[in-house]
Amino acid sequence: MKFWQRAFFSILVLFIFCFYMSIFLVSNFSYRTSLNSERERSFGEAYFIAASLKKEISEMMESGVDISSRDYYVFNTYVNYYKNRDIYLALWENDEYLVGNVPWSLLGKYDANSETQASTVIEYDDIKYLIVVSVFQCNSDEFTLVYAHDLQSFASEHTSLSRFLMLSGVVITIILASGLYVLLRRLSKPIENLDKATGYISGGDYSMRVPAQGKDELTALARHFNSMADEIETKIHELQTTAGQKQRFIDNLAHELRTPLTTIRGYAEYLKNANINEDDRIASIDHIVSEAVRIEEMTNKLLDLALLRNNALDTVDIYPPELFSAVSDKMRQKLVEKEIRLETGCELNGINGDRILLESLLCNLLDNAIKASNIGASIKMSGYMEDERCIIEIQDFGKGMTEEHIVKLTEPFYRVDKSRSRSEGGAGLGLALCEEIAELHNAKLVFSSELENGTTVKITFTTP
Amino acid sequence: MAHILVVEDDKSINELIVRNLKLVGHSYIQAFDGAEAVSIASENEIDLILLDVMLPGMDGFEVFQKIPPTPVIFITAKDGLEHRLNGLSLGADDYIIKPFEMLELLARIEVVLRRTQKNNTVFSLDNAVIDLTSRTAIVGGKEIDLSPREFELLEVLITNRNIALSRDKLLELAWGYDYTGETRTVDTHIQKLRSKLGWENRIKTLYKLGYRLEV
Repeated sequence: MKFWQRAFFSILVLFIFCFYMSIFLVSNFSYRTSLNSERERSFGEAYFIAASLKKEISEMMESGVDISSRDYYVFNTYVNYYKNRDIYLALWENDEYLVGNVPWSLLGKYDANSETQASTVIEYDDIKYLIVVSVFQCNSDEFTLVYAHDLQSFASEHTSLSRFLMLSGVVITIILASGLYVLLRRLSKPIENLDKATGYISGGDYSMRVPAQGKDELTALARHFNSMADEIETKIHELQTTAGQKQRFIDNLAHELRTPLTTIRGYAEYLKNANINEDDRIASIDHIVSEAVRIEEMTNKLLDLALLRNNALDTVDIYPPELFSAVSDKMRQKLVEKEIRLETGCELNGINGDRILLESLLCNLLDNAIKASNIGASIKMSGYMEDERCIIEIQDFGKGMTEEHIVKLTEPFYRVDKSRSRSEGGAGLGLALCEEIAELHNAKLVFSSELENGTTVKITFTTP
Repeated sequence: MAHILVVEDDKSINELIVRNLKLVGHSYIQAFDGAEAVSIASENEIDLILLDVMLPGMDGFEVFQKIPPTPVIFITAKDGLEHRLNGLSLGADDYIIKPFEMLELLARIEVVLRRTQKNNTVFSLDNAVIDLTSRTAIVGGKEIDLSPREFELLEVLITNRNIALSRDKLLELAWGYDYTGETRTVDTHIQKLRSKLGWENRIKTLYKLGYRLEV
């Protein structure tokens, strides 16, 4: 059974029990109190009748009227008068029944006792009667007056009240049940949502979220659930990205090793088996040597990458213009070869970092810029402050690249253009190294590029 | 023999392939990217194209669709199944996966050339004329008798001429992979071929290497 159903039935049963219990108690109490007041009233009336009878009887006695002939008349006026109000009367004189309209069988049931005034409720013929007995003295005679009040209308009043209460109870129960249903469904909706979302997430759909509007605990739970799902989603995504990068790294490494090895093996077999002259032999050996050098360079760079990740920095204060001139000295040969003009400008006063690594970082970036540039183009290398941060920027006006390349740019072995980089001797590891060096210096590498318009690399040092 | 276009962006490998083609007597043209390959293939009479799949700019499949119908063997570094299927469904004659052995490439070239009838199957050296299609050998105007196995071996030697073949390799190529005979069998068959064809100085015994038919 669901939570809301359980709550619904429990509350409903509890409510019905309490409600009808109170209806019962209330009607019972009101019955008693109204019966009591009825009794009081009857006492009063009986006393009044008895007193007036006593007065009239004593007056008659004094005037010497024969009681047996006139008394009836007097008494009968009482009887007739009260009969309309469902009250029956009977009169005795010294144990002798004189007159009255109280049904005999009722009188037979009533065992008159010795008390002067007493009341009791007697049921006869399914009708309840309230009976009051009054005894009074007139001269030496003792008169007994029996007053019987028919409680029929009183009882029916009570019954209709009870019925009304019951009926309104049913109506209220129905209203309560439907209200409770709507309310509980609304209250349990967030739980259902959470349940559904948990199902989706455990099933692998990490993008599932629950609506979280409001201020109660369930909304807070939903919000926390959502942030948990966010966290899981990002973590999973990161894991997938890392796994993808690793897979690409391995694939690329295998490919990068396989290509030169294919060549080396091919030439070795050629040398071994073919009937060739000295020139061919030397050319083949040259190929083998250059491929071996390629592998060596690649392993060195891979080693550098691994070492960089594990080593601490040897940081000193560097005067950036010096760094710039050192870098342009190192790259002079390549710049001259492609007739490229390098424009440098530096407004920075000092950078804290590892001189050798920063040099290598700039050399690598500059090398890439040169490779991307056309013959006779220019490259800008500048240092400046922006938002109180040191920035070094290298801008070329060469081939440029698309957005999809930029994302994977710093992955090991990634090449924007396979053949270009190969033919110019790159292993595809330069930018991976750059990224690593930048990270060690708490710096960020940001590439922006436009096809055929060139590329800009921005190194932002987050710590001065 | 055949005129072959080699399309491969890695210069060393391209060079290696054409050197081997030259050894066995084919002529060749080199191309280092897709656009170059397309223009060469449209302007020249080419018997076969060796086409690398991973080319800068335009990939091998694209090149294949742009050239006039020519027998093609794809060279692919990726051994992913989809690449092979892609290559073959395009109508390539064969494919070979990098890294490959030169002898294997030569064998496949031979098969494709023979199937497409572009190869000159008559080979003559000194006094001997061998027709690989009709499987006949004529020495000094007279047809000589060669056992099927001898002819098989002769064919392997001719296809891979100027390349040294070890006894094991010869067994594998002429007798088949599952042949478990001794390498001495090769020696006796070589002796018979030498005397029957008069190629005592043509089929060289190479120390530690095997045999080579030198042309």
